[in-house]
Amino acid sequence: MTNTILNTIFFYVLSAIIIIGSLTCLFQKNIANSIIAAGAVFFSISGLYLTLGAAYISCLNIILYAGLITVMTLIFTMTVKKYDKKNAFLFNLKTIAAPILGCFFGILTIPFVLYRFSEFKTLKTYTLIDFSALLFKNNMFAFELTGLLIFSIIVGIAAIMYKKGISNAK
Amino acid sequence: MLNEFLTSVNSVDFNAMFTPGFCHYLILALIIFIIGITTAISSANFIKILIGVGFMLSAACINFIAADTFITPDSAPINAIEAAESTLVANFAPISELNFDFTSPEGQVIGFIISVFIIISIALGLGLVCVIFSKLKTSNLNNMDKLKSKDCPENEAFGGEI
Repeated sequence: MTNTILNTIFFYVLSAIIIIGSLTCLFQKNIANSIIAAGAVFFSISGLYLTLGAAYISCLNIILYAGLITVMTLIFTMTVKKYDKKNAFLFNLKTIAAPILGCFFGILTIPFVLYRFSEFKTLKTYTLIDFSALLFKNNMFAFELTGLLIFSIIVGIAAIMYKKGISNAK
Repeated sequence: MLNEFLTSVNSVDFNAMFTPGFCHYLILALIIFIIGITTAISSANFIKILIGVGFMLSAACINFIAADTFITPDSAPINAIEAAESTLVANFAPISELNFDFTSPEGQVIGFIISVFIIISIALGLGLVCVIFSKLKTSNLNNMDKLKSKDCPENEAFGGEI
């Protein structure tokens, strides 16, 4: 299998997952299902970044979006909605479909694992040295500004939660 | 005219057209952006709006990284013919024939900064929703109308308070 064919397959499969996932996120009434669909979309966008050769950005996407943001929003949704213990486990179509779909995707990965990606090359190969050299030389101001914004956001959220904790205690 | 159309269809290289190029990534980013903006506008739930904003910014990120991969500064055209040829090469040529000598990942750096802004917006939004929910016991935007005045035109159209 040539590099071009692999790239084409990955692009169209990931694009299909992105479009179907984002439409699912839009039309789902249950917010938890929307968040899980959004997590799948962010995973697929990370895969697209890999096909474009942006390995660092794809890892960042997986860690931050598919990991942090999805888990954070799911935890918030769980605290907002109250479920009865009786409805904690529902035996319906989703309970059957989810493991079947998981096994299907697992079977799909077998030929790729056997192939071992020995001939697969991304379009461009960058090292972390190239990325960090550009970040700290040409884009130092933007990098520092984003760090400052993240710090101010953390302080702001901590202040909001601290005030909320005090008001709850009263 | 029909013969001209048939010859033009026969001369199109479908293999090269379906091989993912820059315009494929642009179209995908456009679709994601449209779905994101629809989600952000049509949703009443605050968390869905945040996810929609995340989709929109992710689409912009895809554009930057695809432009970083497919467009090189060495391909700057001098005249109209070279511009047309370079556009065709960038969009429909097989990947092996494109020039990849440029090794500066500017697009990835901009994508990194956009990713940080997405996380900042979602984290701040979640914090705000947490506080608002503690006061109003809802995350539905339609129920957050405490600041709406009684003289609002919408109220007059419905003959008083909604």
